Amino acid sequence: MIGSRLHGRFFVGAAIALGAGVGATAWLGPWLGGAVALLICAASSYALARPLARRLAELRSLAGPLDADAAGDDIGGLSRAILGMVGRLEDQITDIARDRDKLLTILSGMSEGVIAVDREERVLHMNEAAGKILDVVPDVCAGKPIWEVTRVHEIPAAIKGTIDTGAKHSAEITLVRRPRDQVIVLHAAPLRDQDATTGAVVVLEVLTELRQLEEIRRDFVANVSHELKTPITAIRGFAETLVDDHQMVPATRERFHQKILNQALRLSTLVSDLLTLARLESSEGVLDAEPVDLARIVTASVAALLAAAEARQIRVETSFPATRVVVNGDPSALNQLVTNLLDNAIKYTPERGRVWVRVSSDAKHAYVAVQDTGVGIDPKHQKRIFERFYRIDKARSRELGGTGLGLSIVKHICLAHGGEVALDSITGRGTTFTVKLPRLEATESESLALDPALVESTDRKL
Amino acid sequence: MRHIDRDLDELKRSILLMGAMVEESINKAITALVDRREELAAEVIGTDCLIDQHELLIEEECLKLLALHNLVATDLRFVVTVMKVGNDLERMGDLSENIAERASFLARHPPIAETQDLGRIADIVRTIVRRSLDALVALDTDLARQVCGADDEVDGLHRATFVQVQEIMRRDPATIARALQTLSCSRQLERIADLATNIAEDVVFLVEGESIRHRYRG
Repeated sequence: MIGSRLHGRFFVGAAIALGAGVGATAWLGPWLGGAVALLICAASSYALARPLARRLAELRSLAGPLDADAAGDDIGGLSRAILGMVGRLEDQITDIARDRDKLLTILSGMSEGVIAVDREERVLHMNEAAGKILDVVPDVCAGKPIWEVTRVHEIPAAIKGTIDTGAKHSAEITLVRRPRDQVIVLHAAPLRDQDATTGAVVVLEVLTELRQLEEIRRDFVANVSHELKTPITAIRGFAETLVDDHQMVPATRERFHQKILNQALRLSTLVSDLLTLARLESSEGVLDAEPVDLARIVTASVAALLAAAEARQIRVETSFPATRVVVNGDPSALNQLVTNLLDNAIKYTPERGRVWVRVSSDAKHAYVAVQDTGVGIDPKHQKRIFERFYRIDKARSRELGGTGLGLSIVKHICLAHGGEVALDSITGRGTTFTVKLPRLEATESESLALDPALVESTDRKL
Repeated sequence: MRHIDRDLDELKRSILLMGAMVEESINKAITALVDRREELAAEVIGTDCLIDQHELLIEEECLKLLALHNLVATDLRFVVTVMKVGNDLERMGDLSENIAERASFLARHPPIAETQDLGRIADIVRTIVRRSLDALVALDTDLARQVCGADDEVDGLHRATFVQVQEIMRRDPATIARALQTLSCSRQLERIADLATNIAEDVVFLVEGESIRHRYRG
């Protein structure tokens, strides 16, 4: 429609197209306006280029012989003028065609979906992103009414409204999909030629990920506030009682002091975990790296938690390969990683249970596996267990002194070292967390270390 | 463009819009059932009256066209098909509302043992509904014929679900209310697949002028 209307105006076509685009920009806001301008330019220049080029070729073939026959006289001058004009026009057409290609490239490269329709709601243009969002092939849709193209009925409704009223429409659409709903924002604006509405353009933007991130952030803020508030409320309660009650017996007073101290310690652990996480997230990959022997890290962690394990009569066994397994990393971060995993393993294993820590390696990677005979993790929790503050059993986690951040810290330390962490768990039987890190060097007796199964294990009962 | 063409175009737009509404309703009801999302179930229950109203409008349009114009051949078949499809879609909307009501009940109670086949039925039904409407939009008889063959699998899975649900009830009588609701959902899904198959058959009738009903029924 736009095309046929502009057909006759080839000399000013580009200028009009640009002018209309600029006008629309001012009216629609920079972003949507840009898309409208692109579309108008693309449509008009496309319509211009083809018939004009054909006519110019005709003109040239007519003027050519004229020039040869009557060189030098008036007619010759006229024919040269015509030829000169033909040349200039051809240059202009080339420019317009190049601009059109450029605009189409820009449209197809956009991450937002753009659909233009004429007054009859037939698709004039649909870019690749729009096809992807609506799950259709753009080329097949050209010329079809928009209400045949998609059954997301909000889109045809917005277009009809825009064409009928000449006003722009915006809407947020939630498409119920599995496994996750899709959230799309739609902006519809009229296409105008002078004052008449000649169609509409719709821009579709996928907000699913953004919404997801917003949700995570909201949850995080809510969680942090809650986690901070709990110990603060307790401390305040005990402190107020101490201040108000002057006749309190010394034993009770002592117990209250102890409780305040415990809550303060919990608060401090939580804050330091949060700071660790923040540091890891802001400096992923730029830790202070040095060659670290994993066996030493594991030995140190086990020694630190030995008392806790013995208190619950849990046997902790370690096994190391015959060769040194060295990674490039931050020793204190790696120490925290192993400690967090081991601490969890001990906490979630019933009394008289067992915990194994194994270090192994292959040519490129080093592995630390922490296995327990604990309660196990239900499959439906396994995906989310590394999220901050995600707890399977809130009451039990707090009772055991957890902050809900331990595994999240483990995950981030792994990521910062270019590694990953996986888990394998059977409910009621136990869980194995396996950390995989890039190995720094192939050590002397590489052949021995190649297959973890062949590695001689040095069990030590602690 | 003839005046009647404009009217027929408007009718096509209208029936496709209704199809879109019903498909969305079914998608929501199924998701509410499988993912235990009570809020989605409530949305479905709230919108079914819109679908019903839309069917009345379409029927009125069809009757007006039949009364005012001397329709023949394709045009006549088109109007008749739209009436039938409108009817089927309205029924599908009702069934979807039924599923949503049960999904809402099930979401508010603890889940019973997994009936694996229900999720599978839901997936197939969703596909059948989508394809039958695709066939209607594009008047694609090949696609329509594919849909006609696809609901046998749903019937088989429905029977399997029946057996599973019986077993769940026998093991633990406390689950009877929930198990019956689950079974009912499976039944409604199977009915939706049947109606979607009707639509596909109507598409073949519309395009080829020949009825293929009662041929694919085993």
